[in-house]
Amino acid sequence: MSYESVEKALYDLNVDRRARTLLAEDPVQFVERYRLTEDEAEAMLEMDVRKLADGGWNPMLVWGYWMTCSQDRSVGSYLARLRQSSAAAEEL
Amino acid sequence: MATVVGAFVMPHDPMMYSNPDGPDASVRDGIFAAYDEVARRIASLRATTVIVIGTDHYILFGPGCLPQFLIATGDVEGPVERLPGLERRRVATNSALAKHIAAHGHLSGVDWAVAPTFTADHSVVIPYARCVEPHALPMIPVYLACGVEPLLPLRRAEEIGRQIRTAIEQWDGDERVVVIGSGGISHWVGTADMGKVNHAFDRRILDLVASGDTAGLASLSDAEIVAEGGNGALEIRNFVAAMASVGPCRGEVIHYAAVPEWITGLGFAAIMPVASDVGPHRKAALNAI
Repeated sequence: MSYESVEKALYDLNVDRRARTLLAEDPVQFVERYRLTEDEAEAMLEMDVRKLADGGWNPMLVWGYWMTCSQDRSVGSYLARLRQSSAAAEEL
Repeated sequence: MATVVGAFVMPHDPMMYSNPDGPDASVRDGIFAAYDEVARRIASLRATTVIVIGTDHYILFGPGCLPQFLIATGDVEGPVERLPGLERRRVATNSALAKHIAAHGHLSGVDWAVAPTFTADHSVVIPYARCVEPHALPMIPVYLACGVEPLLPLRRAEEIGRQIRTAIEQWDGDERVVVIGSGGISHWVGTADMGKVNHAFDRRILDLVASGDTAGLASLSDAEIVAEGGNGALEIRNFVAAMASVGPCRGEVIHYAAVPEWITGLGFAAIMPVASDVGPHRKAALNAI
């Protein structure tokens, strides 16, 4: 695992439209570009924010990743996924 | 003669713009009124320049370079984010004073990272837009590492605040400088606790500000801050630096509201110098009140 590779991938997705476009249009090349391991690639491509948070990556980057790249760019959906509970997300 | 005539601490919650109808109108109006009160007090202090100490949220600086602290010394614009009602604008700055603060630091052991051109984020532009821009005053952005590891140690934030004060007092020009520490108070950003607000912690922080206990605030551990106030509360580094820039001080809480709809405990306070020495700058600062 390369902590910094994932950190850079998350940062670029947050701030660089080209990274978001690459992820959307060619996820295989995206994974190669950032030299992600199989587990890291799976977490990112499946938007497993819980796994990313548990892995210790900066929560601002993880949240920003969800808010820029997910289908439902809402705080509620992010928290639901993070907490693995839809009930908690309804509080927000 | 240049002097720091006072300081303020205030929040920089972007949800005020992205979700203005989140809280009750009375809560929202109270927050905006607090910003207006700070703006009024800045005018009363006859400030000529305002320094706003903010925090990157892992947008401005990336894993390619993470400065511990930075000062913008030239052209400034912002915010970098797209926020409804807060369009990107050119920011009036005091480049000469900013360069002096940086140069003074480089000669005295405070190694400022410098940005000759800079796009500030909401942590600086929200206080600027609400409290500084209405008076057409120049603003100098300062950033302390509060949100991304490696964090600036709290004690170092205090040293930076003191250096800002010393640099200003050695400036040849006549400047009445106000410093704003932007951030906090309790908020959890991007974590599973996002939306939680710790009123008791926020009150404790504001009590320390009100009592002028800069050292007490700087002595808190990051572990305690995160546990009690969330990762967002690490922004109290900016409070410490603002208080240290005034020197011996006392504070006055202007307003506080716990706003879970905006995921933050929002606190405003004024920081005034107190007479602990009889130097000319201290006299000038006191006479300014």
